[in-house]
Amino acid sequence: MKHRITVISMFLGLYVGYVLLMSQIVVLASSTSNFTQVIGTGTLAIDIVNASYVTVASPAVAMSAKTFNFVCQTSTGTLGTASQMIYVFNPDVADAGWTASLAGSATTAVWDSAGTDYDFNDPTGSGCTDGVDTDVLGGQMTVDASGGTLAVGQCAACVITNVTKGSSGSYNEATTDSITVLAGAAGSDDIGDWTLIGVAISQKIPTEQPPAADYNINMVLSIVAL
Amino acid sequence: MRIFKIGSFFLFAFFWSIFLSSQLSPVYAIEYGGIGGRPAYPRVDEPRSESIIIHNILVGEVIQDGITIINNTTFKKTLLIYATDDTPSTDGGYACKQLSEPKVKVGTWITLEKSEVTLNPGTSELVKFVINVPAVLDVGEHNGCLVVQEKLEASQAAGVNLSLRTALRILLTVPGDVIRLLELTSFEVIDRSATTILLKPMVTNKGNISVDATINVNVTNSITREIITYGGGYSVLTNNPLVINFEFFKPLFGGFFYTQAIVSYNNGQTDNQIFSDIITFFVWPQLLGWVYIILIILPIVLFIIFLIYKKKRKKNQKVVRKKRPRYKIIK
Repeated sequence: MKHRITVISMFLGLYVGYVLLMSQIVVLASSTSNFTQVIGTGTLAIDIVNASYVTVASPAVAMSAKTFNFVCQTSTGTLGTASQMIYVFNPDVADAGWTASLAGSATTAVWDSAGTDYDFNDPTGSGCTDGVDTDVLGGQMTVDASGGTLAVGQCAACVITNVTKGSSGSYNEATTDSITVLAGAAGSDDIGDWTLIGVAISQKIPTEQPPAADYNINMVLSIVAL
Repeated sequence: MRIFKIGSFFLFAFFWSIFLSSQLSPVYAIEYGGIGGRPAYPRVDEPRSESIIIHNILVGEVIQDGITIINNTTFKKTLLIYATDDTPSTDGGYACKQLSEPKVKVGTWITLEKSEVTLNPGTSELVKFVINVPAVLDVGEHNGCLVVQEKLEASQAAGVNLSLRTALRILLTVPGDVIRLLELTSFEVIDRSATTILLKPMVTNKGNISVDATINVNVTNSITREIITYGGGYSVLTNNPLVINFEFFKPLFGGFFYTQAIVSYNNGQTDNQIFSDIITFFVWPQLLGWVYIILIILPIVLFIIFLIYKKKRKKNQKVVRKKRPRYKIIK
């Protein structure tokens, strides 16, 4: 009797397990099996992603806070962090290479605030004073990707060979409007993805720049297939 | 007893279902899909037309072409499509002017059928455009861009706010007296950090057309004769010297190295090679290398010291023996 109860229990257990399993399968049975698969066309892309390669909704770089001063100051920040990585994705659409670069949303862009603005592309006085550009503001931004950390993304078989980080460069209106952060040569992986973190950003803040908590500037990170 | 049996039944059912589920549940890989575009009409005779808009043009010609706009994200997106002029980026990079900037060159030749599209996730749309080549034009290369950028309100949050965009180069060439001439302007070896040395060749295009070149940097270890080669194929643009930062990672035990940059290209008639001067540089061992060196050398040094000490002691014993007065013990 005991043995029979145990066998029945086992059978019921198997049956309930089977029912639970079936409840998770959403494919409906039919007399013929029809498998469908769509693989969409890929595109060269640049993005800011988190550690799980999910796009960051509003990517930004926070610069170090400064206090009001009578001398020109340098504020620093980092483009590309563990939670906001620069991500390049090439699904075999830029075999001759690509360039990723950072530029202002306009050559006339400025660090905007409700009060007095300052510039990002005026080299006059080592970036501390106003020069002969289109505005009357001083200030200069420098981008240095050479000290950053370049790594392969999700593609396990890919390498970083022939993908190089850009040199340090400072914006200068109408002369240097775009700074290269990463470049893939023709010899880089045709199918690959890469991440870059630790791009150093520094900004010269002119003397006696009024205190404000809302200084902001819009920059554009672009990738071009060559 | 009955409670035990009912409990064991449910436990068995629970673990059995979990086991089966784990064996058969679909596993999802993390996927990435961006926004962008690719040429709609690639040509067999021009492999680069798979990636960029490339044509040989004649003055006054009108060319019909198209771009496939792609949204591979999981969200519905409204994308802007616009043509711009090119602009040099640092290190000889290729970049595109911003939407806000005036167009004066190739950007003005392009007329797009649409300036924006709204795409559902995982969909694409063909946008046709026309290239109106001016009646008067110099021989050589004319560059521009077709840009795809998400339509978003500019953020006003404090700090640097980033927008992202993808572009295709527009490469239009007017046939004629094309000059392909490269110059290896400089080659520098820079001690970048505690772990890396930058090998930095600069190549200038003195011609009127972009030149595809092979740029290599060889580093030879003067003791082991091992050669490391960096480099590959690069496109050298006109009026924008190409600078490449090859990273040489300092070896653990350091050493003497010599390096040379080599540029190889075809000028349309012959294959050419340009060699830089050979630069010799020394790399100190790294901290861990020093530790290894000390760990290897220390026992040898200690052994030598021990041998010297032993020899000296033996010598001293001989001297002492020699100096010892001879006497007899008289019983």
